[in-house]
Amino acid sequence: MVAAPSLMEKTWTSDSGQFLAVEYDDTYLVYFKPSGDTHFLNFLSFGIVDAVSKTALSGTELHEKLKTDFSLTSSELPVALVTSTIGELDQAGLISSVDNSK
Amino acid sequence: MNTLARLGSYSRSDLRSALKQGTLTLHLGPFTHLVSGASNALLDFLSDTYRDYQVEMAPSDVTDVLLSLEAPNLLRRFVRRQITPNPGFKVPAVPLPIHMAPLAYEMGLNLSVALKCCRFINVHAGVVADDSGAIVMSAASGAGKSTLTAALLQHGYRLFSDEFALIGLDKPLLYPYPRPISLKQETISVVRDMVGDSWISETVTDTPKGDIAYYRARESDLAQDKTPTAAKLLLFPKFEKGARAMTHQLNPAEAIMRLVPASTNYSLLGEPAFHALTGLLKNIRAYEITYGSTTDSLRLVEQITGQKML
Amino acid sequence: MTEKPILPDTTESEDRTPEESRIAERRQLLMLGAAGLPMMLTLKASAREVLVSQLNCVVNFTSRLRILVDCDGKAWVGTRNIKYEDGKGFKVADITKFKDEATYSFPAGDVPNNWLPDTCPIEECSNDDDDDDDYDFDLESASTELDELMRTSLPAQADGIMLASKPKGKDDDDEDDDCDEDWIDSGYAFYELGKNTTITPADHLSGGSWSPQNNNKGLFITLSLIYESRHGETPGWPGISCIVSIVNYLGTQN
Repeated sequence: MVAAPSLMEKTWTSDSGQFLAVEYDDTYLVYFKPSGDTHFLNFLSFGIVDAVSKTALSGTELHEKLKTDFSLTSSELPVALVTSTIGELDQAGLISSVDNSK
Repeated sequence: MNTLARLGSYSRSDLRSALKQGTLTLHLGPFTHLVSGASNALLDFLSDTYRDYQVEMAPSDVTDVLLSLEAPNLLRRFVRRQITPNPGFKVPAVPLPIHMAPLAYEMGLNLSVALKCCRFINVHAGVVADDSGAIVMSAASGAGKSTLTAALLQHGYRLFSDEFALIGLDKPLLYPYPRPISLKQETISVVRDMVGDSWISETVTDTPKGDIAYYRARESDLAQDKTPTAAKLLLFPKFEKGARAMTHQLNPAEAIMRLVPASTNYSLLGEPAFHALTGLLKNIRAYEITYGSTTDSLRLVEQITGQKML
Repeated sequence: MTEKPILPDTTESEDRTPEESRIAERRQLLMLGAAGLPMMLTLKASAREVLVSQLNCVVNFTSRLRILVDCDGKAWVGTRNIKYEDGKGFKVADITKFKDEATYSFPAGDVPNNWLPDTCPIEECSNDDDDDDDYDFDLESASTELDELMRTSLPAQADGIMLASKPKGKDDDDEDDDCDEDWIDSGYAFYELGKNTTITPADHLSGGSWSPQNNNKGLFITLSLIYESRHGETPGWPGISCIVSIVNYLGTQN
C-alpha cells in the first residue's frame, strides 16, 4: 500500500463555490460546476468535502476530525476507508491537494 | 385563414393542402409545431387521433418544433415509398414504409422535443394530474408506464404527457404536453379493453417497435394544456408478469440519480437542471412500485396517495 | 381473481430513535465501505465517456460475408459465392442458390439507393404500388423529378465491390423471364466483406447520428440497423450487440 500514506499526508482543500449540494436524509446530491457532473455522496464522503472546504486538512487530520464529528472509533472508521474515499473525491475533482497546486 | 380551431373542424382537403404546403401549425402545451408531409396515412392519422387538438392553417410567429415527414431520397418518394421524420437536424432514424407515417410523425415530435427544446428539463416519463398535483412515472420502455398512465386516466386523472415530464427551470412545476399515448404490442388490447375501441387509433403493424397504436387524448385533457402544476408523487413503475405488488420508497437523492439518465437534456442544461430536479423532489416522495396487473398498480397508487380509486 | 398482498413499505424498523437509527445506518455503511463499497457515485455530465466505451466496439468477421442486392432494394446475406465473368455477368444458377441459402433476407425497399445496382429501370418500379394515393398531389411533377433523379442519384460505388448493373426488364423475383439464360449482366449488385474484416460502427457516425459510409461496410451497417430495429439484440446477426449498444446510447427513439 504505497499510495495510502501519501494521500493521508497530503493536505486537502475544496472550494465550496464550485459545487451545489442538497441534503436528503443523510445523503447528498452534489453538482460540481467545473465538470458538470452530478455526484451522490453519503455522510462520510460529503463530510470530507465539507470539512476541507472550511479548512485545509491533511488526511490524518481529516481522519481525526471525522471521528470526532461523527462519534466514531478508529475501528469503525478505518484509515484505509478514509484514504480510498479521499482518492475517489480527488478523482472527481471535489477535493484537491494543496501540495499538487504548489 | 389564420384561426385557431379544432383540427377536426377543418375539411380533409384543407388539411391536406396545409400539410403539403407545410403550414399546418399544431398548438399543444407550451409548444407550437409546424408540420408538413404529403402522406395520406399521416392525414388519416391526424384527422382521427388529433381531431380535438388546436391547429391553425398558417405558421405562427414562433415555432418550437418544425417537423417534415419526407421521403429519405427522391427514389423512395416514388418507388417502394418510404418516409422519415426530418426535425431539421440530423437524427438516427431508419426510413419507414409510408404506411407507418403515424409512427414517423410521433417519433419526429419526440426527437424534436427531446433534443431541441431546452425551455424545460425533459425527462422520459408519463405524467398525469388531478387537483392535488401530478404523478410522474419514469420507466424504461416496456415497463408498463403507458398502461398505468391510461389506467389512471380512467380514475380521475387528466393526461399531462405519456412521453415527457416537462419540468420548469424557474419553478419546479410540470407542464402538460398531452400527445396521444403510444401503445405497443399487447398493451394495445389491454388499453382498448379499458377505454373502448373508439379511443384507439388504427394499429400500425410490423413497425420496428412491433405493433403500435395510439390512445387519443380527451378534450378534457387538452382543455388544460396550458396549466402547469406541482408534482405530488414520483413513481418508478415496474410491470413484471406474476409479480407480487410491492412498494419501495426511495431516498430523493437516489430518485434524482435515476431521473438524470432518463432526461434528454440534463447535461446540456447543467446547473439549472440540477436546481429543477432537486426542487421537484423537495416536497414529494418517490417510490419504486412493482406489480403484475393493472389492478395491482392502481391499488399501489391508492395506497401511496391515500386517495381511493377502486 | 384473488387479490395479491400489497406489501407495506419497509423503510423504518425497530424501536430506535431517529438519531440511533442514523448512527446505526452510518456504522453499517462504513462497514460496507471498508469491504469495498464506494462512498460516492457519479453521473457524468458529458456523455462522451459513455460514448467512448460504447462506441469502441468492433465487429470482426470470422468468415466471409456476402450481400446480394436487387433493383427493388431487396437484400440477401450469405456466404456462398456468385460467379461473375466480364461480358457475361453473374451466373444465374449461383444467384438462385445464393438466395435459397441466404442466412438473412431483407424485403424490398430496405436497401437505400446508394447500394442498389446502378441504372435500375424506372418502368419496372413505377406502377406496382398499392398505395398510390400517397404523394398523389405531387405526381404532376414526378416525371421531371425522376429525370433529375436519374441524372444525379446514380449509386456511387466507392469501395463497395459492386459488380453488375445495367437496365434490365422487370424483376419478378427468382422466376424472372430473363433468367432462362445462364448469365445475367444487370439488376444485381454483389458486395463482399472478407474474412477478418473489422468494422468499427462508430466510424459510421457523424455528429451523433448514423451516417453509413457509401461503401460495402456502410451497407453492412445499414442492414445491421434495420435488423436491430426489427429484432433488437436477437443473436445471429454479426456484431449485433455492438450495434445495439450504440443504438441504445443514441437512445433517442423511446
